[in-house]
Amino acid sequence: MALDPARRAELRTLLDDWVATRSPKAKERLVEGHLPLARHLARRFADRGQPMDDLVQVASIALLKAIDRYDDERGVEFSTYAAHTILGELKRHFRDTGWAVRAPRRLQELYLELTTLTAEVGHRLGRSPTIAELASAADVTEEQVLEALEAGQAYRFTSIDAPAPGTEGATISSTLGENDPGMEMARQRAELEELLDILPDRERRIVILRFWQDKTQSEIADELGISQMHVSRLLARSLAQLRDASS
Amino acid sequence: MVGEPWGTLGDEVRLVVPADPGMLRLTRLTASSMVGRLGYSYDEVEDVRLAVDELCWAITGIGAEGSSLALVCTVLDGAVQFEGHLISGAGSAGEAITLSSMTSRILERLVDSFEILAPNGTNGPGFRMVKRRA
Repeated sequence: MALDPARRAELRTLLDDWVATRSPKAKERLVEGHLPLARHLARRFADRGQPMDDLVQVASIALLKAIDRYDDERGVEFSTYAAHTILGELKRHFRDTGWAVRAPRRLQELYLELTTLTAEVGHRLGRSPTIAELASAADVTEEQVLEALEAGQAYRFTSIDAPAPGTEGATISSTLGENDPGMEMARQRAELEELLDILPDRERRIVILRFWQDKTQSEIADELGISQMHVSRLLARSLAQLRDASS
Repeated sequence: MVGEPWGTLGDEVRLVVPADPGMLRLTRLTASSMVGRLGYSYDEVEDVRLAVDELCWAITGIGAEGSSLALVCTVLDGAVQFEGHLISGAGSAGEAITLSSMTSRILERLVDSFEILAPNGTNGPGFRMVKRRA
């Protein structure tokens, strides 16, 4: 990813500012300046069956790590160091959360096709489609649909090294329901809030929408503007993380 | 299949696998196949898959080496019942399944009913859950 000299100098200034001040504002500007690099590297892995959203998220978090860990006195260009860190995290992401049970290519392809079909058929019918309807739309058997859906869930053996959540948005307490005077409820709520805090913002929101606001996966998909299968996969992954954390 | 799903399957499907988390894929696939063939919506199939995963995982968590997990899926009137048990496994049969408040909350939203079962005879600790079709 070649940069023109002016852009390179601009990024150098951002880095110098960060090294000198360590201020949140400088960090934010440095992140923004290098997000194109993160996206560029994430795209290298775009044909491996994982949504770009996820890959960009992994790459962006790796960029944050690179910024935090970078030591200017070592004489390594930051972009080189960041690229190395981001690629390492992307590879680790695939190793840890990729197709844990290696799915045949045809199932991976069918899974990706179903990602689109689920939304299309669902919108056409005005309800969540049945497996038979999905099979008919994809011109495959119901067994193949189920196998593909299961193959898509093979991401679930995730690392507990979840990205740190941001601090924006509503508090968990405000979304868990009405106030309850009972101490037991209060204790449970505190426990739940602590547990949910391990999830990244988006996954936490999905869990709350599904289990505290009783939205279906398809409703959540519509609300967030992502596919239902993506919601499904994020939910499964989140539950596995919550389980690991609580056990 | 969608038009008249009930009665087109046998009343019961049984699956016995090693009580190992690596085997949960088979339990999820069995359960989702069952309800998928009965005309449940994709949303409902996903609910079953997640719920079976949670409960079977709880069983594998208390299973000693060499123990098995039995999952019985039974077609009821307009619903499917899933019953899972730990089988054998010296030293583990008496241990109860415990669910966190988080897991209980999640299961309440995923299925119509669920309960944790105490060891009974040859059956070790287990669970029973029912998912109705909308």
